[in-house]
Amino acid sequence: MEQSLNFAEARHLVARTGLGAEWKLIKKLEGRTRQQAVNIVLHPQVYNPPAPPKMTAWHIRMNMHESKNPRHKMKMHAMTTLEGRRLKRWWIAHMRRTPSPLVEKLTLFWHGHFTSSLDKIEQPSLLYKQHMLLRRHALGSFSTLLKGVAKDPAMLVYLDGMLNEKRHPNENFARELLELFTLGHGYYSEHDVKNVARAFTGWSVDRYQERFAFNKEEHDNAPKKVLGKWVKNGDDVIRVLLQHPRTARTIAEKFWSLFINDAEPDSRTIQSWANTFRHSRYNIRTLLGSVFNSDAFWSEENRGALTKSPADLVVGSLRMVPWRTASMFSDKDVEGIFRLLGQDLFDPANVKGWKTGMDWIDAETVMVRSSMINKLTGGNMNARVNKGAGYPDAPPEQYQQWLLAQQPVSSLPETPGKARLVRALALDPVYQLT
Amino acid sequence: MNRREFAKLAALTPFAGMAGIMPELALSAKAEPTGKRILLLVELAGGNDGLNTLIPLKQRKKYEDARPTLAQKKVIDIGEEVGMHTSLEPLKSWWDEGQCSWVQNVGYPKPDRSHFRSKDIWETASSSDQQRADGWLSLVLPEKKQGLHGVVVGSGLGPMQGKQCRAVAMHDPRTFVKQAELVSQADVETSNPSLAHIIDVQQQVHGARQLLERSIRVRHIERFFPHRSNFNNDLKSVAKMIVGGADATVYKVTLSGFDTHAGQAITHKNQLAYLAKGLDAFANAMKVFKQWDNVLVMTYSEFGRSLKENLSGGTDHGTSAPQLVMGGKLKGGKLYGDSPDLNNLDSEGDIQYTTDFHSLYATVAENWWGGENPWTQYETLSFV
Repeated sequence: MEQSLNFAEARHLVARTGLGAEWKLIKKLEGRTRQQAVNIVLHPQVYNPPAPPKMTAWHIRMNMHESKNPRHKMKMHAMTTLEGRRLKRWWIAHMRRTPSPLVEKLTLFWHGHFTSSLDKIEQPSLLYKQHMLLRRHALGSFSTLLKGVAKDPAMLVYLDGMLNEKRHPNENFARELLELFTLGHGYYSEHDVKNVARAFTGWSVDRYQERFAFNKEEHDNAPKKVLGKWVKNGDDVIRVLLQHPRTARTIAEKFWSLFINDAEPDSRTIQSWANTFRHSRYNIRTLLGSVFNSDAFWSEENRGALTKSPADLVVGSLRMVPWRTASMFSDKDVEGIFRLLGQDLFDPANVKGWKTGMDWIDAETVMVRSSMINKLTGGNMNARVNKGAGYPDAPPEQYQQWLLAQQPVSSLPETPGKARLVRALALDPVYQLT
Repeated sequence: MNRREFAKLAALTPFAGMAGIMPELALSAKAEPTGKRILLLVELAGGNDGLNTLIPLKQRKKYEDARPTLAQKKVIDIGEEVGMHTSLEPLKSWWDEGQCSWVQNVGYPKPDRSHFRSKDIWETASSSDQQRADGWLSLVLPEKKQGLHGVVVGSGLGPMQGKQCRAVAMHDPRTFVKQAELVSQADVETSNPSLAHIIDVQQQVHGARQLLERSIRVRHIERFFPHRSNFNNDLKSVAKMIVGGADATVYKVTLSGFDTHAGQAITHKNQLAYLAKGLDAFANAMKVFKQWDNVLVMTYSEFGRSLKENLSGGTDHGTSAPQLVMGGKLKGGKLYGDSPDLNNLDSEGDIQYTTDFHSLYATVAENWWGGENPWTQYETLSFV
């Protein structure tokens, strides 16, 4: 017999699968069985982002870039920066408002997994296209996503695929495909890297259409061995990689860090998730189902065992509580805070993508995190002023359960008042965890 | 300053060294250097054009052919091999006194021309085909001392990245202290490692705050930094911290704007002037406060620039470049390492490094700090 979720369990499910422990969602899931609740979480309504900001076409930018007039070049750089910032804010705005935060969480995860950055690509419209690809398949099929990414123009620029030619193979994409996107370090040889690079030669980009273009002249069509199997082209390589058991494990391990805790993943759990994932032909929703129904996910020991990512902390906080101060955080401000905290959207620091777990926390980010919470929870503490603010009608003990994943370590205020209590709880170090 | 004023100041700064408040007094009373070995790293962000910093005189024709508009005709004489860019004039007297030197043509094999990747390679002491997450200083500082390891004035911990390193980044000490006061302070035992890490970092921040509170009160530094620029302000902050006894081993400042793809002639001239004026001011301040012997200044930059100038009157991402070292204890006034050979270029037509940057780190670890040297396979240099 399955028991129904209590408040703390419903809160755990919402906080881990969304952005912030939103009161309404918790209340919606409280009292349902685990399976029912997980099912609701796994089938969010499709909620598409609004139209993107205007972005200059690639070929126009390239013309400016190649111009002999230094002013054109400078103008081009300024334009790229501006359009990039607008794109970042566009996503932030959507994260703050969407009723389906799981889609954002997964899109952000795939953005870290299949990294590309404005810093290198200098072409916002390509990043936007990549973003829509990641979003479309965020809970869909990993194999479709992988195939799409290999032909994605932003990726072809970011990892130099478009420079990968028959006579001058470029190994950048090949190496990261093996090391970061599928198998992981140590499961392939340098020889494999070279042959994978050869197989992907000629995979290029049409600058005018801003889409994948196959350049037959530059493709090395000779058979080559990758992981002991004969391949000719990139499609063959991807097939081989999807047959390899490591690929599913790599994703399963990363989901452990995204959903379970900051420690090393449990090998047997990973094995079971990876099996399910592979046998579902890489259905991401199926993998998520395994994760959210697992004992590891529900174990009391894992409450508060995961460090909040910048998105969890910043967007999560803004979504959770009806702050009067929320208007002090424009999408532009939030974008800046994301950058300071190390989650600069469309600009991950390096090819490894986002940090995870405890690596989010250093002296610099600790200060930015507390400044942000200070500002957000500041203002008038007077209960009368905050009367209509929309704080949930619940006893103080439940506030603690709502805002914190485990017992606070600082002492709580003796003066009553919801605003004061919320502030104290949010400033507690435990609030940085989920 | 009269006696009463002095008493008032002294009361305000119960634990600050007298040097901070009364340099004149300090000179007589506390003339002994403290024996600390401070490293000030100066990042020249964007990729400094080494060939227009130290102008190659021996292959001048080749240099001038490659740079029809950017070649420097006039240089500061520091010998027959190379000449300094005229903007570096303020450094000349330090060179003459043997307290300023250049390590020539510093780089690494298979140079990466991406800003972020090459910066990572330098800052983590890795190589083109190796990724490391932690900064090079995290390999040497933790065993060197307790307490605060380093302070970055600017953003990003860079070479002090990593859990082993106790470093803080700030824009200026005053703001840092104010911000740090907002950070909660819990001192509890916990079996949750994630929580323990947060509490630990929060305590580090408070530790740094206490040390930095002194530097805020340091006076008489302003007059050494008359030029108004961000770089000067950052150096002033560092000077205050050193004089105030902040007790960090490494400081880092950044001078940005070296990515001179277009219209380089003016930009680069200005950048080098900022650099030279700033370091001249800093060195003077350190000298007066009897700290100059305790300080080693060292520059780094993700790469040098292309030998050939481009069609926009600029240069593109290149390979190796000279790095500046300064300090009271420096064996300076001469060049270290070999000059680039403009007749021996790589496949992209750029110069090939002759001194590996790991040698700089090995020198700092072994000769300056006299400690463990993780880079023994690289030669140390004798500038300190």
